[in-house]
Amino acid sequence: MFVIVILMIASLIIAIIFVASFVWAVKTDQFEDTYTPSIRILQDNNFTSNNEQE
Amino acid sequence: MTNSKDKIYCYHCGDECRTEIIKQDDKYFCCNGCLFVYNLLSNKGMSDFYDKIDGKGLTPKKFDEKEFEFLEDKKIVEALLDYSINGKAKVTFYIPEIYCSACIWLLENLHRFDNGIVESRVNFPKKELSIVFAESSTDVRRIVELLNKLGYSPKLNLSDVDKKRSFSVNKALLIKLGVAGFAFGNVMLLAFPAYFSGNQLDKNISIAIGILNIILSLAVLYSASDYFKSAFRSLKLKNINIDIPISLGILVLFLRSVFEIATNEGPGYIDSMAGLVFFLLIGKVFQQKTFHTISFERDYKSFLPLSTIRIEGDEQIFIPLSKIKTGDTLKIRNNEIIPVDSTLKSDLALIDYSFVTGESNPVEILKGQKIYSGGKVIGQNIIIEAIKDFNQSYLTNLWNDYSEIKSRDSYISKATDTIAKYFTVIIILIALASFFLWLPKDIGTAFNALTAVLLVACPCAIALTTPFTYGTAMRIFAKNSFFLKNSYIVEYLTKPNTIVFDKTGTLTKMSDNKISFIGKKLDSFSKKLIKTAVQNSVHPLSSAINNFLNDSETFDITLYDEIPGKGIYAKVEGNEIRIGKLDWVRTNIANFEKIYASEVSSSSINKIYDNVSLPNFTEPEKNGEFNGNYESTVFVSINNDLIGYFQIIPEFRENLKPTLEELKKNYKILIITGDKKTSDSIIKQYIPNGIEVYYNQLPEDKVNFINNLNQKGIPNIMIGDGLNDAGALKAAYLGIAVAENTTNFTPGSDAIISGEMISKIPTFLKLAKKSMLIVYISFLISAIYNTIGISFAVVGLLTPVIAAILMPISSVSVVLFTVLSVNFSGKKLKLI
Repeated sequence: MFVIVILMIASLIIAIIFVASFVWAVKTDQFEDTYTPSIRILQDNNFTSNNEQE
Repeated sequence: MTNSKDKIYCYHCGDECRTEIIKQDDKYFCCNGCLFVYNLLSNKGMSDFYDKIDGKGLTPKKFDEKEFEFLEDKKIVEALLDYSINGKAKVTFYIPEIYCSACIWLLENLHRFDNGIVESRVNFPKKELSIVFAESSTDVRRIVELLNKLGYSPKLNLSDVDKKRSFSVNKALLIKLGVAGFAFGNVMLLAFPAYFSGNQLDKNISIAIGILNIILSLAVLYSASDYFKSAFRSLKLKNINIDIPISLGILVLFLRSVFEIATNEGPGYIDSMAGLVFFLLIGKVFQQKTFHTISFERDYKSFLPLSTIRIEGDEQIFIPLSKIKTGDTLKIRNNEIIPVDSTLKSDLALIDYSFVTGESNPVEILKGQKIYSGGKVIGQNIIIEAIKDFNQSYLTNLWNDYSEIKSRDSYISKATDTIAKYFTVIIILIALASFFLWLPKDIGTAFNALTAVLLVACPCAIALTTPFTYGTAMRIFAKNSFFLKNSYIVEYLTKPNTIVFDKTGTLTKMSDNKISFIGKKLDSFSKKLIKTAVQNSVHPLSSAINNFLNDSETFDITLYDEIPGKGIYAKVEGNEIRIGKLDWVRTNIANFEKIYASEVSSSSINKIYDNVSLPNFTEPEKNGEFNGNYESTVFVSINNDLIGYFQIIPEFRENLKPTLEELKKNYKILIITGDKKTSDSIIKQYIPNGIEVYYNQLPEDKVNFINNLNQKGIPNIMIGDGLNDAGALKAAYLGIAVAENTTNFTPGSDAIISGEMISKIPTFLKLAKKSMLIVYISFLISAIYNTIGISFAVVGLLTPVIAAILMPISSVSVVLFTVLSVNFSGKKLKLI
């Protein structure tokens, strides 16, 4: 039966990993703006313009 | 973007090229600014921009070479920067022009224009741009100038410098909520073995669970730290607020659980404790979300620019406002707000004081006269001399006065705090009583009963009820463009029995004037002539007429002159047009210069006027006396032929009469207005009978009027607009500011309502009353739970099972009840 304690600790550790990543996400402003990244990811960054001055 | 129908459109900004056409790379540009941006973009290999924006680039802002010199001032820069570490600095700008995904693309590639820029990030919903840059190779001034050249001019206001935005509060709350959720989930998981196994649980396992629980409860204590702080603070001030019983409840739960686990008596109540804190924090976040988008706390500083031009000899120097000293000579440009009380050094100035007084007609100021801060310059640039330092000006004082008027909590305390007071006292009394009753018989049971009463009587229901009920109501209001400063305002909404309306801007619309032309029929030719003349003028009435004629085309203008306070003279296609006051228009004098001499014998004018016969002229207008400032009349003559006049009436809002009729059933309605008594008959057409209207009320009178009501002990709601009613709004028991958009300036108000939602005020008030009722009902529900729980506790029979069932049920059921029933009421009132 004591194996349950190991399972509990394991589940706790997993939960701690999640709460830590949540804290990290909040602290790095990832909840400040949930809209712009969705536009940003669609933008292709090729600067190969058809301009001869380049 | 190039040729279509003989018109040439600029490749960059998409506007029609009117004044000049510059050709390069087979593309046309309307000005050097646009060409510059085009070259800049193509040099940096970013001409993809034009594919992304569909040919509507931003017109680059023209700015003076020295305009941003003040951004070299160390103090200003320091205040603007978010941080500056190891030579790298971050600055955040608010840029209203950010509107499309191409903007994001362009602004996030700023580093291609300036090597000093390390990274730039756009926050699209907030229209903010944060830039990290290397301080060694670039500076704020260069960044701002670059942004202006690209057409994205950052808003630099005094408030950016004066107070730093504090996002950290919100973040801390989110983290606490996350931690509490984590603890709650795990505690519940650990509690299952104990719930289902009865007493069969292996001893070692229950010890392990106990230890894990205690560790987790430390995380809960961290999440609840705000409540402890608040409780401690109010104890220090010898107040009792709702946070005291909450903190007491949490602490007792914690201590007793630790005790039980340590003595191996039982599993403790960590699950209840974690659940309580988790729900409380959800309530708090819920509340913050609702009013987080609008800022009530902005003051006059957000309307003043950061810098102004000081004239020193021949030089113009841009200086920060805070450096304005008495005696400085300043240049104020068109549409800028006067930062400091001063005297005029130019010959003439037109000042729009609507920001301060609400009067929209500009005031004429002559050389040497005094100008108060807060006025907006209209038309020409002016030169002024400061007669006060910046910090002592009229506007600053006005604001500070307003801020001091109200300390509302002194005469009403929030219902929950009142209940919390009694609740705490009664619970402590019951706890002590049961302790002393048990003491002679059994010390153990006495301690048990003492803590049991304290923990089962947790004020969760009370603490959760108000945030969830008012929070839901607030959310429903916000959906209907009615924004409350905080959720307790819902409660204030239920008390008043008198509603005071301001007229201008509240009952009438500010922007939409009703314009009609009375006189000869306007043919398309004269429409064109009139539009050509008025579009050159910045006078509000001219722009109103310009809007009225918006489908008309225009001619080229030959000659144009505007005499402030009189009218416009324009020569178009050989036709002479006069628009303005009657005196001005009917001066039938061929020689235009003579008008400057001004004094024309009135008899000759009358003679001319008598020869003009117009069908719809009524007596007062014929005599040149108009209805105070209620309606404005603008006369027009073409080639000395008086063709008629424009009547500009501020339009009353739709459904005004039924709305007031509805309110009249339950409230006393008063209207106060700055209008003269002469407009009585017109106003009375739009409002139901039996409503008292008070005329000639200046902003100070309005404040006195409200204070008078307060002294008589009449709880009142004042509904008025923006700044000119700010005093009255602040003085009122509850001040609601009417705004055409929520970014308007609304100091001192408790709520902001969007103009077109005025007709929903009766419904809003009903919902507020319903919410109040719901709060009382859930107090009743929680009282029932508490009575049951406490009676078990007093007799010393509170087993962990009963506590474990009662406590979560009471919290969850109260939350569900309040949220569902408020939503139901909202639906019934057709607000959602």
